[in-house]
Amino acid sequence: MRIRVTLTWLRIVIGLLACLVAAVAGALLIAWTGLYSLAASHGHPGWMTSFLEFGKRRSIIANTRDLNVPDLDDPNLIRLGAAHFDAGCAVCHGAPGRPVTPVFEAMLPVPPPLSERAQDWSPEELHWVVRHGLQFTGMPGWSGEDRDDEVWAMVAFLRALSDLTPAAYGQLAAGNAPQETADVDALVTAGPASLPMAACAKCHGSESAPPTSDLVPILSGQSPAALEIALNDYRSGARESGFMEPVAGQLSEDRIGAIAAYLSSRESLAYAGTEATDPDAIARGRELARRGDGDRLAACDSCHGGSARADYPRLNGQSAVYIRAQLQLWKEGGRAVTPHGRLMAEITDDLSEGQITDIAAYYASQPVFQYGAAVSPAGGEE
Amino acid sequence: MKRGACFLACLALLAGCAGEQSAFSATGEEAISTLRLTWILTIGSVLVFLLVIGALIAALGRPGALRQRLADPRMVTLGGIVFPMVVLAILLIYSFALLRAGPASAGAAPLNIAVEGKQWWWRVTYSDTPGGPVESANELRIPVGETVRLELTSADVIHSFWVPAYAGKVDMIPGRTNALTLKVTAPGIVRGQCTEYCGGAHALMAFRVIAMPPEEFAAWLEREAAPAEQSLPGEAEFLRAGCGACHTVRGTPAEGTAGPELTHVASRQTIGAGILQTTPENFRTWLDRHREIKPGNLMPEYEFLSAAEREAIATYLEALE
Repeated sequence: MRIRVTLTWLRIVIGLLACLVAAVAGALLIAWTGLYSLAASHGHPGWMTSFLEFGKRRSIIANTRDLNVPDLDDPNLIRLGAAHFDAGCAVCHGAPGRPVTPVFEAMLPVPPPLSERAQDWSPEELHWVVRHGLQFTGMPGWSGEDRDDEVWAMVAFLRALSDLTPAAYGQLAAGNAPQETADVDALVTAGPASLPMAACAKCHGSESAPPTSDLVPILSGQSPAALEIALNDYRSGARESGFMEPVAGQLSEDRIGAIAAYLSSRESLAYAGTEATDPDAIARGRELARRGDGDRLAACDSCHGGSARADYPRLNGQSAVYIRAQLQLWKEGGRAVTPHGRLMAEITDDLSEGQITDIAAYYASQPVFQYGAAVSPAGGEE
Repeated sequence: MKRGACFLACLALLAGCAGEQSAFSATGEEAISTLRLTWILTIGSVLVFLLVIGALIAALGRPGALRQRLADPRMVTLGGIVFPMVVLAILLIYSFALLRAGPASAGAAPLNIAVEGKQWWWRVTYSDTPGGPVESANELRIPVGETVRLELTSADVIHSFWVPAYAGKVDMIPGRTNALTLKVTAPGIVRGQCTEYCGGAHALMAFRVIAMPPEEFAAWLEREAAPAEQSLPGEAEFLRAGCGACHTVRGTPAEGTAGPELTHVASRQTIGAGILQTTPENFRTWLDRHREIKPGNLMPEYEFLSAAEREAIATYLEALE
């Protein structure tokens, strides 16, 4: 017996729809029965591994955009990246001289050892992965939303990682903080330090060491109020930073108060390597800081000079790179989220690129501010 | 009945023509002569109109002596050619004389005052003061009976300076200095307004002009030139909050120039560029709600200032007389 079926468009469409329904029903059936084991310990079948690997590679390549890559050999970027990598990334990915811990080695997929694998990707591709993370792998995106600028520190560090010896890595990662203490007694009784990220001096400098990178501000000598506002804003996520949010997130409000009071009473060495600055830029910056530009721009020192409210941060002695980066961030709207931030955003609206450079150069050329030290009433020393 | 009500309503509307910002309440020489010209033109054209309509009615009416006379070629020559020529020539000469006339040619060296339009307020500088230029804002004081020359400039976009009671409007154009010469005949307070759209708060960019007898003006200018009293209550809060980044209070470290000068702000008629009457209450209102009162104005909001700090700053401003 032969069944004659005449193909019409309607029948083709109905047939295809039936196939689709069957496929969805089949998938749901497999999920419902639990036939497909999601056990990480099983691993994927070979075809699945190849497929996922292929999809991941294509996704990274397709989503990467042309970016303005900064100088990735800049030690300021590498040191900042190292400090964060050690606290945030090494736990899964391992580090030179420190293999992936057994807990994370049992993940599926296993976090790749980056000393070897980071070289597979271009700087833009690495930036995309660090910035956005990868679905289905456990790789998180950058916790400071819209802080694409910060991600370059990680990229610079990852590019440098393959050449690092364990000793060199240890030095980079610890920054100014003492490297792991060999105090067995403390280790046995108290366990490892519970706040591995929150060693401020690791990056920000102290009485005995300058900040490890000109991308981070000097905190010692700021007023307690300004420090508290900054830490609380990072803690609540109002102020975005992939570096500082995880640190502040580990701190209680009491601890923030104590840290602010402590740092405020300390001094810090000035930045180690200062960029060569043009004396004309410093002079122009001084004029802007004292009097504004005679048009719309407010005079910076009225708020950021010595005698203003304690909750306004002081800029004297901060690095030009840091001041420029923050002002850029404001111009892009990234900091108009807190009362103080919104106020400043209205001022940065009127800043030109040239004025940003000049103001940063001026403040960087000043001695580091010390809260409570005698200051001239108008703010700013000659 | 209905028509009567309409007439009354129109009459009521006429009341709007008077007041502190009206060319019909002219007290400046230029505005007075412009107003006179307006009346001459209006009344004259009404008379001519009535004459023409009268002639038309007569021409359409029954034949008679009047119609006869209207049809006379001499009437056409006199009424149609000579009359308009004479009237228009007189008006032309009169208006030329008006344009040339005015205090500009009035010999004596004028008093120079610079007025700069800025989004959305006015910087007023009394340039001819013995001790050097004296800066003020959002209020112009001038001596009655003296020739005053205003140098009008703009810091950003095109504004237009108009005090209807004194003179016609003059644009303030970036990169240019326009001059306006005034001579005011009677003391009094009138209102001026920016009359060229200049962005968000344009409609709220006003000012007061106070014409005062010359000796009172001289005394006032001397007071205005003096620095503010030092160490007034609230000065510390004012400075610590950073108000001096944009505002100048002479005699204190506050030397900002981005916003209006405040040395004697409490002695001005209004705050916020002609927006609020100067009262202690309104200083507080302005500090608390200036973005509601004058949307888009460029003073940032200090959300984090405590009530006590606002109170202290308001007290300070109030004392700046």
